[in-house]
Amino acid sequence: MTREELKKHWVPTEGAFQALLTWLDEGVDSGGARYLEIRRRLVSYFDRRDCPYPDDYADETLNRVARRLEEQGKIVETSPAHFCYLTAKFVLLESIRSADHRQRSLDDVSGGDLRALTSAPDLDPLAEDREKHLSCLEGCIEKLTTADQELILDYYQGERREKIETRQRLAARLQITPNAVTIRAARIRNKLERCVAGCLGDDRKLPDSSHQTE
Amino acid sequence: MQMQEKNIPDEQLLIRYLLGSLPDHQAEPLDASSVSDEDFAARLSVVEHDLVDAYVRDELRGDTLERFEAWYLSSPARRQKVAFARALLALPRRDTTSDQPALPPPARFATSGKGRFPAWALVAASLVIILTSGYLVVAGLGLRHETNPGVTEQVAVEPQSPVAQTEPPPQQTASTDTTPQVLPPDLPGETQTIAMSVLLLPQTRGSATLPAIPIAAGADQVGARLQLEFDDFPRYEVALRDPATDRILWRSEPLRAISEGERRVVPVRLPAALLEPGNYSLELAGGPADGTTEFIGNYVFRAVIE
Repeated sequence: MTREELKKHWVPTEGAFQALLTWLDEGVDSGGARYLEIRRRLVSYFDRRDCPYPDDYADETLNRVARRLEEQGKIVETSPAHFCYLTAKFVLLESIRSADHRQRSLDDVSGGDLRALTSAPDLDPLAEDREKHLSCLEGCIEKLTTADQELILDYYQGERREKIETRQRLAARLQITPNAVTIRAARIRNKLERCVAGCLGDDRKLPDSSHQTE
Repeated sequence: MQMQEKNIPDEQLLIRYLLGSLPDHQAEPLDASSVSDEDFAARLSVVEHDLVDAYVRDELRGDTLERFEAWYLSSPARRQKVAFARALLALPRRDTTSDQPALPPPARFATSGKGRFPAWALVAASLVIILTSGYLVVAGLGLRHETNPGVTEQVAVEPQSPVAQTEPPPQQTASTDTTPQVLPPDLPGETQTIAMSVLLLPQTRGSATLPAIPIAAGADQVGARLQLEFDDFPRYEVALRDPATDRILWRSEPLRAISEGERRVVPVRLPAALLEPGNYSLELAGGPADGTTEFIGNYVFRAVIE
């Protein structure tokens, strides 16, 4: 299954996409956040499995789920998230059979390629890209709610003991457990990562960048 | 805690999973959970963020670092996570003890001249200047102070605080602790001097007086031995923090604990050029031979230039 073949596959209508959002929400309207979270997990899954285009495979997975929903009207045999995983496994198996699937391990690249990879601008934005990364991050933080802004900025203050103490103070201030602070910060960070990726113009990372900071 | 009730794998296993080190039969159940289990997905995100942050902060070592660079960085999407972490961790610090609402985001970024530079870049530039000037001063002084007997006397008369001892470790000679020491050269043709080696105890709430470390003029390094309450780790790291600026000035290479009689200490040598008269904190962290470290304790001292 090549990237071009993925693009040719069935694309959900607006109605099918809305049905998918509703089904993923499981009765609690998330305003698209649930879709984005499942998509993020699928992208990470395909990426860890060395798929060359994890975003495309994640979209293909969700398109297939949407089509199945449209065809059957409902899917009740398992939870939406688990059904997405089962569908993703099929997409992965197809990609493995495809000649398009290439292992991206550094074992396969030359020393020159390795140096190019490890010095790639997207790895080290310390030169000309640094300003753009920071500008994008700044813009994305502005789109967060004030509460989320404060949480994410406070959460990443300091190192080691100071960091721990800062997070304990944050938990006390928000009247939640330190573990809940950590989970909430991780969700905000994931949201910011999607937003920054969209801001940097990498549409492979997030085709639906308009939903980034819901 | 809910996640523990659901028996989510420990952090080390998750790190191996994130680094692609697990065999398929172990990775597949985690794959399923990573998509369909809310708590697992959240925990995995946290561990991945911590792992990436540790790489950016140069805290990964050994196999973990090797695997991170060889596998994790092989994916453009994962490299993007590293770039994001660099930007996030470069955000200027703010007063986290304040209950005041956050400033508007643009005001958080330090502006310098035409461009904007992360705070750490300014610190790094300052460090280069300090190190360079420190080197020039020491180079100018040459080795005149290597055997300066005055330093021994000054150390001897320094008041002993409750948590500072200049006693020599049992396996060392007295002169090792109280005399500027000519160390084996680190580089061919280079000779370094070390002022002394002071035993420091972890800071406690009752520590009223800071232990003093005298630094002889011309000394290249300052020795300290950080006493451990428990020697739990094969590897330790020490960071020197300036509380006045709240900045980390220096980090050690991986260190090992040694025995001094019945106690276990972590010996460390600090670059003397970084120290000016004032208070400093040594932050000790420990961890597995090739994993991330965890904070152990603070060792606060007062630098006294002789």
